[in-house]
Amino acid sequence: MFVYKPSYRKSFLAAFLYEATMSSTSQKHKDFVAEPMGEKSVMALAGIGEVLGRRLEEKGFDKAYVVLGQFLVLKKDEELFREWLKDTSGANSKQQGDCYGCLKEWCDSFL
Amino acid sequence: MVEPGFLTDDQLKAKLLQYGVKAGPIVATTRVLYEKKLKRLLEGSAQTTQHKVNGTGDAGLYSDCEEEDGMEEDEEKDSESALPLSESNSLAETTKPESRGKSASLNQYGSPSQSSLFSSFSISQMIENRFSPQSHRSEIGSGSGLMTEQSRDVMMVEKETMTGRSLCLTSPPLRHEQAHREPVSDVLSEMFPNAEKTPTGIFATKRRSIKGAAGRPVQFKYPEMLPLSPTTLERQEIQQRRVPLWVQLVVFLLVLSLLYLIYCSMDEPLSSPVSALLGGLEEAAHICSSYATDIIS
Repeated sequence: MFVYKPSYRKSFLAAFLYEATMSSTSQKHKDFVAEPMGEKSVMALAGIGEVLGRRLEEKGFDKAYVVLGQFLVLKKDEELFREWLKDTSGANSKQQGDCYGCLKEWCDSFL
Repeated sequence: MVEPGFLTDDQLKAKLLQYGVKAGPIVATTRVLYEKKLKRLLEGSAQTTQHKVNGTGDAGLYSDCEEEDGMEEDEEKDSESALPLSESNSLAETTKPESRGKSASLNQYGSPSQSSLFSSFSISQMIENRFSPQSHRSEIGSGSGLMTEQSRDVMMVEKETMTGRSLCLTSPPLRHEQAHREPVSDVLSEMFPNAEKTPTGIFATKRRSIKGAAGRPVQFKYPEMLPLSPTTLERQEIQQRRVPLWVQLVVFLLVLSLLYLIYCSMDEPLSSPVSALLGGLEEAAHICSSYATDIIS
């Protein structure tokens, strides 16, 4: 006999939220981490759109591998990389997180 | 204060290591970030020392006085702003030498008769000190004439070994008292003028019994507020909402009977599709045969 407990509500909510957040690794992210980055432009990074990409290019980070270089020089530290990205391109928290996650996963696969 | 902008790369790295941050290579692009991090750490530590300064005034009184000495000395060495800390240190450390001198004097008074006297008085001391430090001296005087100032100080030390906290709380005002030697009005006798003086000076009343103590379990005292775990609460909730089994059975039987009645009340019996098809086929066959006979004839 099925009894609907009040606690089920939380688990439904949790499942829904998990679904909503976990599936937010975008297509861009998936495309980037699927293969070696080669000569991809910096706008191929997840979280980096046109505006941010242009700002990075102005600062000299014109290819994705240059940003990777910065990421590695900061020893893959999340806090430092996020701060650097914010200072250099004005990325907001979500964009910072997306870019960091993208690079981190790429490094896990290919580095 | 150290200015991160003026440090060399190596110095910056060393400073960060002091705060437990293992910095990566300090190159052109990373230097700014590490400088900012160091600034944040310096500000953070400066703020914490400030908070300590605000708090040590009370900490010197309430905390365990035996241990504070070592801790505070370490802080002095570490922090760069030594001035505010040293003030609080001097406050705490003045109490230390005095108590240490008196602990030496304790060894001289090793007589057992005095120790028994001390134990009985120490409890009364603690009770009265909690009530009011000023009434303390007059209570002692009324209690017995044997108390001397030195033995009182020794008692202070004995109490210190027992509970440093109460000593630290009361020792500063007591020392002030000994300096002044004023006749203090007895607050207790004012409050309770009818109470008779006891030989030990203890005025003890039975304290309120703790609810839930042995013999009075909580569930009898508070029958409606039982401490229940969340699962039992949930189960209770469900029990309330659950439809009882017999009600479900009755409803089921009612519905069944209703359907049966409807079936019975139908004029024609329900036909299955198979029988309907067969009936159709039969009719068709009849019609065909009748046509055939018509044509032949």
